[in-house]
Amino acid sequence: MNMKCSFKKIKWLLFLSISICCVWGYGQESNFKISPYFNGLAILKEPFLEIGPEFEKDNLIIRTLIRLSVADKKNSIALIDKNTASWTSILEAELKKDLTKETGPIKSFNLGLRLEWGIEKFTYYPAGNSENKVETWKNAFAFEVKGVWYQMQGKSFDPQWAPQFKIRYGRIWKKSDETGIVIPTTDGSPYIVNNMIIDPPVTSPVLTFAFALPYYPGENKYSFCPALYYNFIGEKNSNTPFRNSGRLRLETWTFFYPTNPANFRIGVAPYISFRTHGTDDADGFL
Amino acid sequence: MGNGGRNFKVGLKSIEGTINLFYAFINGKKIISGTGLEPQQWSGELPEGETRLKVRVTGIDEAKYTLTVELPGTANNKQFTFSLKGGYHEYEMQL
Repeated sequence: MNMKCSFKKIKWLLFLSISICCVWGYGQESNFKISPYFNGLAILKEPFLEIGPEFEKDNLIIRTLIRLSVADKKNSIALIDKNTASWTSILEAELKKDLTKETGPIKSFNLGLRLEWGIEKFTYYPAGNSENKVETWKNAFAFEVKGVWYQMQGKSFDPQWAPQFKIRYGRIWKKSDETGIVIPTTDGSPYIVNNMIIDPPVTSPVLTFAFALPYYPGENKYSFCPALYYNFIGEKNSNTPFRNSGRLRLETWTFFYPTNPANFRIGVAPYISFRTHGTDDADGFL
Repeated sequence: MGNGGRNFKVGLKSIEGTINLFYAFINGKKIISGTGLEPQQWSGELPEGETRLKVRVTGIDEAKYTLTVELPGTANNKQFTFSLKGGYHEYEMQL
């Protein structure tokens, strides 16, 4: 792989993103106990709902979930029936270990592994008219490994660190863009343009490396988190992510923790994103 | 924990600011290890003789939390409110 990074080609994207994120997370999660080692889990992350059982014993958690699109967004209802056009199955394992004792440093770690496999129906009209409809089902899959480490020395004013990483490979299908089909008229009236999808769905494999370093200095109400992401994006409909383009992104988060409400923070993140090689669809001001 | 016969319940809850982690130990044995985002509690029987409870809490700056100790049939319930200092606080008591 030959990575060329020309500063003349770098498009400086300075974007101030203000995120008001409750430390509960940006989704809604409901966890209820079924038996001593089994819980029921429902996680709503619009526009998807993930539901399924969770096994938890000692330091190990295993989840088998199914992800559905939210059919009724107003009431957050997802459904699966013969008309369901897409769903994804998820197998997730998490190892949590807390190493903290009655005295000494406070430290813990999490390691997670996640496998996703899904199926989705796509419809397109290669002839440019609604009579010639083609329906096709495509498989998508993704694989993810992540880890978090937390540490502080266990004294007032000691800094707190939580380095974390994630590696994800995904090959997800998406529908092609619509094309305007001109429909001529015979009575002299203006032509009609009908927007239709005429190309089959496409996929590009993406391999992402992410690393973040949350840091609290031990005083004041601010914490900081630089985060680095690198995406390898492969050619369309291929399996390898290394032969098309690469994108590097650096985010510099600063969080403020108000006194009230409890467990609430506000974050601001100037970021820069630039292609290192090839072309992708993410150019432009984001 | 042993057959001491004294029922015991301890609770930790964030009330102001941001709490990251709650820990509680009985005679050095960890009984609570959890996030400060939600209340944490433990109930069980205390061992015979002197029993030492220690809590350790991490968070941001001078966040506040409450410690609730219940000894049904033995002593009155107690509730303490503590403030972190520099993102950390610990407290120890004899039961």
